[in-house]
Amino acid sequence: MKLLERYLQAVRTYLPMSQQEDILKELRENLRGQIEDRESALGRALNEDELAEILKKHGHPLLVATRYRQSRHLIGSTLFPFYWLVMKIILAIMGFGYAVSVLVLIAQGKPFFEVLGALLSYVGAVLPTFAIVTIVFAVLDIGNSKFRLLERATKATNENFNPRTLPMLRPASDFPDGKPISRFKTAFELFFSAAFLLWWMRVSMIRKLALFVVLGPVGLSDKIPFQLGPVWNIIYWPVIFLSLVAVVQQIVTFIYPDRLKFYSEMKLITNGGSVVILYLVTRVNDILAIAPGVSDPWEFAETLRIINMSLHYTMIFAALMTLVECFKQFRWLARVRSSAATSASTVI
Amino acid sequence: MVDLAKLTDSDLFENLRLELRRGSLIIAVLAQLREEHYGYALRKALADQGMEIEESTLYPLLRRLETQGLLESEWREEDKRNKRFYRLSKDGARILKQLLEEWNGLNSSLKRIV
Repeated sequence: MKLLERYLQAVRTYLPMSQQEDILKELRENLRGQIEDRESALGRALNEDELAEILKKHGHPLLVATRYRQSRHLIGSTLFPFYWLVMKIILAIMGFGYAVSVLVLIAQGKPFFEVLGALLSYVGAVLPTFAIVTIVFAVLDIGNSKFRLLERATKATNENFNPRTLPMLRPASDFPDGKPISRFKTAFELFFSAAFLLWWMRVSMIRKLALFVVLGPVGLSDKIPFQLGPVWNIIYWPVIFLSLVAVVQQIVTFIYPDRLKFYSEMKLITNGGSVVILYLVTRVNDILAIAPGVSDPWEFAETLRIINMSLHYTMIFAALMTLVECFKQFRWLARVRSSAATSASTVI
Repeated sequence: MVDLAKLTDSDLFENLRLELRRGSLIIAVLAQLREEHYGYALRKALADQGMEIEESTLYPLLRRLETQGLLESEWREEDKRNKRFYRLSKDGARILKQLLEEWNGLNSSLKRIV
């Protein structure tokens, strides 16, 4: 029976202190009962192998002991969906705040590594936020399991709920893009439109940032042998105008995602203008040109030719894609107008 | 959290089977304890009627049901050894009645459905 006692000693290690003696006393008797049953069946005392077999079947001491502990969770299934939703909202708001502050730093012409540091500090801020939100919800979960807080809080909401006030069903064809406009996507577009505008307005920092993203550390060097060709000067103001229109549209859409006609009309203007600009750029040979001060321009002539050719086809592809987008918005607007006209004539 | 998409058929079946058994085990234990038993004897009695339960599941379950007031227990000597005997409490009997009604209702509905 020494093996039995060794087994119980091992189980004791993992048991809650206050219940150790009681649980082990009961476990010992249950196991003894089982051993005696087996001994009566065999008509003799069990050898160590047979005893070990019974204990092995009973389970590893750690697993046996954990069954006696109450199962615990940090945030239960009732609160978890709320926890996850709140976490996503907070992280998104923080992300937006950091994005704005990065844009401001860029516009102020702060050094590159200061901007990069601000971007990376978002990651540093996410971890403590994650911890704080989790702790708050863990405390709420304890309160909820003790006082049924959520049930009480939602009772009134449930009683006042009237299904007739739910928004009307809208088919996919009601939306210019075939689906409801996502605020997250709009915020994303707004960030990149603002970044592009700053880049276009020759804020040197964001130009360096863009080159860093595209070329890596080489992009930070002052010795890049290429610059934008003369055509970019011609389209400078039209691009600013279209970018501003896009930024305004994205701000309005972010606040009022249901203003679909405005969204579609503004998209038509920006996409139409973009097609014209892209067409103009594809008409010239030197989309990029050799930067002034390059000692031997012929050294880079072949590289420049390949880059310009790639850019040429990229612009054509982009123009075609934008044209398709234009056509979609135009068709949607035409359909909206024709259905408006039909319903007006029906009323008459 | 279990990712059901990554489970094999047998894993999935095992998870569903355990889920299905969990509630039934409690009813079986409560019903069997209308007569007094100690842990090992209860396990044997259930097994004899086709309801096999692992020791590591049954013994903690007995303590939990006792904490919830559905069982009563006492240490008593039997065959010159001290054993903890469990039996259904008054509250346990009331809850068992309700659970059996629920079980019978579910069973008849399921029979009609399947």
